[in-house]
Amino acid sequence: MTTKNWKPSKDPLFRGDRKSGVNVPKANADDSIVRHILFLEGPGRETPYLSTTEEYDVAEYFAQSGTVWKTFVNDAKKEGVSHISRAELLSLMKGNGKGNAKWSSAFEVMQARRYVEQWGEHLPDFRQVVNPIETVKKIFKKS
Amino acid sequence: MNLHSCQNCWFNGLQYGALGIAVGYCSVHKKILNIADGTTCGLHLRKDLPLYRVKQVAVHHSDKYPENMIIRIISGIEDKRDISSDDKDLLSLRQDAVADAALDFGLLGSKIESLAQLKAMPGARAEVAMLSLARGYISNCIERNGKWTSGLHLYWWTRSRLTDIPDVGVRDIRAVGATQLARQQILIAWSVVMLRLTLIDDVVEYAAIQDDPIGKAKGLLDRAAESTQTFNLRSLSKWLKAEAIPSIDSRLSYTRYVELSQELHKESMDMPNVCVDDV
Repeated sequence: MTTKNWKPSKDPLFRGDRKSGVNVPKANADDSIVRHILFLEGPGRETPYLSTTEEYDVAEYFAQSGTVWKTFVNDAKKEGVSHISRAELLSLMKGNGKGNAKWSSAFEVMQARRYVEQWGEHLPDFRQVVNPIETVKKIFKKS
Repeated sequence: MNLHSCQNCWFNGLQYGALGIAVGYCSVHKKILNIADGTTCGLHLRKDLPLYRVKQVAVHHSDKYPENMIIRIISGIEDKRDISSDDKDLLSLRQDAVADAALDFGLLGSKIESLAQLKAMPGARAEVAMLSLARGYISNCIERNGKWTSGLHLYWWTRSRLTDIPDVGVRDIRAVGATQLARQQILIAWSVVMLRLTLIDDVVEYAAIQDDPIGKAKGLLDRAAESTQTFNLRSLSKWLKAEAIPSIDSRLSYTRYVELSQELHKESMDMPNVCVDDV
């Protein structure tokens, strides 16, 4: 379904964000995946995840007048950032969802699932990261 | 695509996610939206969510953004290049039939007239424009102490084509994202069917508050998602025929629709200011 066979061992993940830097996640924030993907608390919300995509063009779209940043799964893992892949997200988001994608509304789970597929979304997971500010600086580079 | 950007707002009938034309149009600010994926304002109401959630999210949104100007999401700055109300640009936009009707929404004597025009046009873009603007129309009526029946015709028009598979043309697609074209068409078509069901669900919610029997048909969106679990349009259409239509028709049949329409017409004749045909 994606335009290429993305491989975690060698392909980057892209994120559109401000020129000044990538938004800093909060390790102990609510870890609901559906809440995160649907952006229910809007701008300034606290989240332990960062939305990234396999596709540069998608990140560029999100960046608008900002910048496209990139990271690699292996570099992120070395800093304690887990990786929730697109395939894993899709498998979690059926019916009322499973695991951290469990959610009260099956319709909202489906909407989130659609976005994951359309955007080729992956989530770097910062729940075990002690210093997210430094970690974000370390693992994200301008693309 | 930013979910809290103008592309995903009720008041922009020209875009919804990857569906639409290059620019949007805000029927509140009366501006062409040149970068609708990157701008927003405090009046934003999301297309992709059910009514109760739209209201929850709107509270966060209106705290963060000003109502009276369209600004960039990332920088928070108002950039005049992002919008236009120049006559030449509006004239150019009117070359598109859907945009022409959307631009007239709120300008002509009756908003329902513009929605009826959109209803008569073929294609998913016209349908999204009607459904998006209709959600705002009904909500405005309710806020002005209108009855749930202010959405009666919009409900019925939508119910009448609820099970049809939307016609999403290649020219209707703004971007393929991380998918291939054919898959994007399916995902867009699914989102249009669910937008139809969302409008029906809105009316059901309003009717429930006003104790009408159709208000008992709550929860259709979740039931549709639970029952189908994939983006298979045939399965969704089959479920809608087998479950959703009987559920809503048992509470609002065609005969009852005609009766309510006649009452509505009578009310509008007796009280011209009642919110039945215009807001």
